[in-house]
Amino acid sequence: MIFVLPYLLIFLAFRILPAFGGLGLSLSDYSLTGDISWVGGDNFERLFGDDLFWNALRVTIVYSVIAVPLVVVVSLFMAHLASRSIRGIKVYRAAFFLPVITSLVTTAVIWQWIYSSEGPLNWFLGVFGVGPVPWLASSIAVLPSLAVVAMWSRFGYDMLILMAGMLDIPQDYYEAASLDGANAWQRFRHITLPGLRRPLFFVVILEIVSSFQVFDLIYVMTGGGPVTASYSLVFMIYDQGFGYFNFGYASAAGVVLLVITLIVSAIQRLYLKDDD
Amino acid sequence: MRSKTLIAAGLAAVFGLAACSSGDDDETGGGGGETGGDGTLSGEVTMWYPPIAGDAEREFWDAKIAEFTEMHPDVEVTVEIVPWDGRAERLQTGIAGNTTPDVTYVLPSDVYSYGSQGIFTDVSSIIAEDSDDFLPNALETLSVDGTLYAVPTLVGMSTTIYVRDVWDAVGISEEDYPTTFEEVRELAPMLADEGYYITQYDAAPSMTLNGSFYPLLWASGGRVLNADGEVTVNGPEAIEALDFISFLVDNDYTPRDALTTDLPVETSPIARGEVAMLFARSVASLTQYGLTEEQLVVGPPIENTESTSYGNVGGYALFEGSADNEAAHEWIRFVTSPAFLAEFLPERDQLSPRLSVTDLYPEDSPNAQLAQYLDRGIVDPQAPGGTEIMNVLKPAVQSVLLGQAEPQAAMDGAAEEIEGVLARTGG
Repeated sequence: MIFVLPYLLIFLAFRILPAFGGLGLSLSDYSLTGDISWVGGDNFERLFGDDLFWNALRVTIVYSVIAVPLVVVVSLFMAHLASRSIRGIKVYRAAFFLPVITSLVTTAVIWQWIYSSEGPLNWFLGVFGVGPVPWLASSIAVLPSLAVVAMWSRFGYDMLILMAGMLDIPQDYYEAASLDGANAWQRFRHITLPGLRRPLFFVVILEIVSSFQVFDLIYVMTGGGPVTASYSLVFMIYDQGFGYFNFGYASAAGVVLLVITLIVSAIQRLYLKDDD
Repeated sequence: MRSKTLIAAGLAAVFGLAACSSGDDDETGGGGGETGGDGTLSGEVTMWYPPIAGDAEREFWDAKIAEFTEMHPDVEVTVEIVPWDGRAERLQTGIAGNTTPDVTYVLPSDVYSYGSQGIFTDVSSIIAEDSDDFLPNALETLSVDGTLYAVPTLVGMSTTIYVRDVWDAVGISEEDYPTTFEEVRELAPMLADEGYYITQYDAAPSMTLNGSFYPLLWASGGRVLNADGEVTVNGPEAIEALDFISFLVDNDYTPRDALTTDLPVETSPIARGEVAMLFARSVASLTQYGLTEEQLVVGPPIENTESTSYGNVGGYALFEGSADNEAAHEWIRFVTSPAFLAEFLPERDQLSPRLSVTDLYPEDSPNAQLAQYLDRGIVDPQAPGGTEIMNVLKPAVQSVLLGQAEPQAAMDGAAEEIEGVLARTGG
């Protein structure tokens, strides 16, 4: 107990107490001068009647629906490549992990340039007579474009988790399957995927939580635009809190996000519990 | 995973922490200040100031602090250079957490947001002896309901600025530079044929409307709020301004990327010399693109029915908790004194809020030219929810320019939202 006490105290002070503080704030009207008045469910009533909130929730869900499969599939593919025993594989693994340790702001600025109408991507498409495509200026293209950047910056981390899972699968299974005539796809489908069930599920949950909390990329690359096409829930919390000083209202949106995240985490717990 | 789950609470938590610490007044401001029996001033003064002159600020302020403490050896002054990015957030968290300094540099929107909330104190007594030396409209801009909440230290004028090289390249001389919407419409196609944009209209969410939509609205005779505080941004003037901008956008007379993205300075069309004129800019804002003062020609604010643009006023506000800090009063007097401003303003390409501070720039320089348009500078809306109002209008304007909404419908929707903002903020 004595060993976990420091962590417990820090966790209580910086996670649990502020979370309860935020919950309390969501039920009050808080002014910068420090005046707090109890408003009960008014902030939530306003929130659920606010088109901006529903738009933010829609944006967050659509973004997650695009980003999560994209990141997971790419991570899985890269983990498959990186788990091979070839010469210099450690260098490749390190290179694949580089985007993870690169500042997200730096990544966002570089991708902003890549996506610009005179950037390399549109130049390349122009060679084939296509474009320029308004990657960040179109309400339709902006979320897939942001999801690609998220994939780029996150796949390295997920790849490591999945690769560890793959390396944990006994080689005997693959050898036996090969002797039985299974091709590469069949080995992947019937041995790798079932063997990766737990790490894969963990990665999926991780990515769902991360997607629901998307902020940095949007802040740097689109500012929530064009119009409100990338105005996510966390961006709304930031905007309402620090842009408009509506701390109670922003906290109410934060509580909604907390509830969503808790539900996702609870599903994960239940699933893994069943698995045990 | 469990800790990851709780990250969601993080942002709300920030507010929670802020709430917890809001009751403690002891940390506000510096160490206070007082005048001793022998008339000597003592105490501490802390000030937040943004890097208007970039990296040169630290050296400048250190020298000025030394000068001040030579006069007042018992006063300890600390000037903290606060980056522009996150300046507003820092101010808010400082206020919420009672960790504000004694003095801070403010813009008009700060005054309208905080002045009426009792966060800043009345500073009129600090300059009572020489208030006649300050430009009346500068004092008015930093006042709320007749109470002065910041002492002006600089005035800036955003107006039309032409890039001489571009106009020379297409053979148009200075006297023929466009000054009205109509003239811009006439000349834009010719510039496009030569490979130039007539302007760069910035509509990215991070860009202020003071440098984009507002001046064109004002030039058309419109205002966000009228003198009675009523929302008028959905009037015919706004539609006219939007038609004008749409004309530029639809015909590619302004870079499309600038509608949605805050273009990097180094690679922007302005830096590449592809833009002929900017509607509402200061000289300082363009020299950062690598343009020299010799390349810039200052013109009157663009006109449709009137020639009006954004007139910025920067000043020093004193926090309520430091209202009795005599050392802070003296420091504000020092940093807004004529001798100080004569040194301070030219390094920052800004104009003087004091009538006695003149001849800061060579007669024909762009900065000297700006001064003649100072009386055309306005700030609108002058309401506590100015930032929120602007953020309501940004997507509305953007939706029109991207062809996603009809101008009248977009402005009507925005006007309705602004009514709600005013109701909440007491504007």
